[in-house]
Amino acid sequence: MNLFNLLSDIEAVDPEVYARFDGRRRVFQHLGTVGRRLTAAAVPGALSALFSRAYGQGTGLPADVANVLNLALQLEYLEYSFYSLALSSPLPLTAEDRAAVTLLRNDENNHVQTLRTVLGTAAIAPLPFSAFDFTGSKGGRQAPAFPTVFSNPYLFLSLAQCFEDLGVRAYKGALPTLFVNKLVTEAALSIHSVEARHASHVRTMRRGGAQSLPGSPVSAPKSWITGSETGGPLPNLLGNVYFSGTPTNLYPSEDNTVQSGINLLSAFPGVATAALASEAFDEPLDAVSVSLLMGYFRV
Amino acid sequence: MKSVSTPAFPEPTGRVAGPALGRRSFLFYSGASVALGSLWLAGCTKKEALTPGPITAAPTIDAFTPAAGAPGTVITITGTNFTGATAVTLGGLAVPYTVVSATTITVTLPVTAATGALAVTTPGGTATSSTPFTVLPPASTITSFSPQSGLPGTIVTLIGTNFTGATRVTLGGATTVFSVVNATTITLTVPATAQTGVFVVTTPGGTGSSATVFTVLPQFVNVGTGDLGVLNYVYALEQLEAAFYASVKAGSYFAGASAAEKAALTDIAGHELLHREYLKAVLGSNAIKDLETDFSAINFGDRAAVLAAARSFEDLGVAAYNGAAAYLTTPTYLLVLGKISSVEARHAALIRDFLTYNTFVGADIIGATSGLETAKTPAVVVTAANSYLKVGSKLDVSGLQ
Repeated sequence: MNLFNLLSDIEAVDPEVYARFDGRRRVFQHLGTVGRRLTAAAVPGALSALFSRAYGQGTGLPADVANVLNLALQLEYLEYSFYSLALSSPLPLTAEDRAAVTLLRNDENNHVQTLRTVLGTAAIAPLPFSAFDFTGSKGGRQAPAFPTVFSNPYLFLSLAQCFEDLGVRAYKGALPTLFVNKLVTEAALSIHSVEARHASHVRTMRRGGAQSLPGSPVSAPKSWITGSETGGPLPNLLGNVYFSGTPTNLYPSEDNTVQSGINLLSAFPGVATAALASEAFDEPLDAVSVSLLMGYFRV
Repeated sequence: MKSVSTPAFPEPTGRVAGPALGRRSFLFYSGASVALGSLWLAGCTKKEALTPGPITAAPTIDAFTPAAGAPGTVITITGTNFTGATAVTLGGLAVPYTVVSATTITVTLPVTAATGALAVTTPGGTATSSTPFTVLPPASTITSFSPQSGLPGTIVTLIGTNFTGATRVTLGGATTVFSVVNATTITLTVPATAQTGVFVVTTPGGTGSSATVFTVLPQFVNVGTGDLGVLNYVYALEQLEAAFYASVKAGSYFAGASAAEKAALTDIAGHELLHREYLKAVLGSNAIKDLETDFSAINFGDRAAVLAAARSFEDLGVAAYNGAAAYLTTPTYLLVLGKISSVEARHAALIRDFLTYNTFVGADIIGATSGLETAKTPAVVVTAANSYLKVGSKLDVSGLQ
């Protein structure tokens, strides 16, 4: 990890980052004298300390905020592990698709690091690849639901779509809890939109590329979610990625067409169709539902 | 004002004025331009009244004010021996007058008046001013103007009278750049500094004002403050996007676009329209006005240009939503932002994939090591958005703190 690169990364999304420290000059004095001598292994700790000073995080995080962020962190580990294992598997991917999966993996890895930094000492222990079993066999303790996940590209992409769409819903569901800290809220939104870009692209991959027309939502979906897509590509096990959470009124199914009490279909006749109204708004999912879905892939 | 007194009757030089008034005066007539004021003879006494009998003293004009004026102007002439005046003329033409006192006459300038010397005739003679009174054209009047309201830069036409020779036209006190088309028409440009107010046309004859105000419309739309300000801010962005895709669908690129691009752009246009209508409904009476867009810089016949613009709008939209949350004061509308922003991100990813496959993410929008997508402040976002909004629809987000 290059501390200076990370700082400039942060500066790109948070131009006031240096003001959150003690001003640019002091940051660089501090980093220049101390940071330069730090070993690579020690730098993340130093960065975490900086974040703690800048954002008031680390051990100062409210417990519910830390819980929500740790849930997101688990999801990021899941995605990172999934793509890492895929890239080292015999999965037959085109060069183009392999490049895309590499981009996905890199983003998820960065999300892991960023969340660990924001959480500081409140972060869960790192989850190794071995913490996950994407065949769904729970480490061989049950019959695998997806035995060909790393040999069948269609199955692989179906799962990838579920994970990305789930990520979008999970971060959205976390927003109200995170609102007590606007910087953390902004960071969560800024990961959330990346997950949505991922979801869009995986869906594009599933229908055969940008110039392929969408067909059945379960096999050739649009880049956005139309209705509930009857539970998506893997409805038997992962239908809840697209269905309602708990409670239903707060976490409606993706086919929801009522927003802020406004029935879009009756309020905007001629503009809204059931498909458009569901596509135009993504829905949040509660933490328990997210945990349950992730649980299928934990050893 | 100097004047020369012409005796009403042939009289010898040095004739002494009779005792018409309590004070005996001695008038010296030279037949030339003489400063009579300096010829009052101090210390004249009764015994100097050499000639008996009532003799009417010739009038004199000392001064008049103003020196110039338009018809309707009241001129005050001061002098002596005005009592019993039988005529006042201007340039030889009789004008209506009032003898206020022996030393003051007022004249109301008729519309037929022309520049010339003032003359006061009494039984004692005629006094003529040595300098002319200048008749100015009448003050202008403004009877109407069009349009009744507009932005700075709007061309306004004033209709009225006597505009010829106008030297200044103001709107709400602000000087304007104007052109006198003819005596009854002036065109002007509403200046950037103008405030709502009346027009005032200044001519040599005076000033004329409009009876009603011209309303200067604001160049910017203020989204307001607090949570409603944030909602109006994103409502403005959705208006912009919806209008953009409506233009895309009307353009020649779209007509010949691939089936996949046509399908995607049709969906996106529908989503943005719904976002716009939904936010408008949520805001209700608090919603800002319908914005006027200006996409003249975008060639809607060119695929690369359209998709590049779409990419800019979508990436900007996502960054705007990411940055907007920090401006909310309550979490009420946080989920609203989130529900829409991820859809914008889905759009952005596909548009980018249309342009160059596998650019759904990129270092231009996502921190290379943080994995965080850009979040932009409202001020940064509207700097970009305002280039596609007409004057009068440009956004002011200064209320968002």
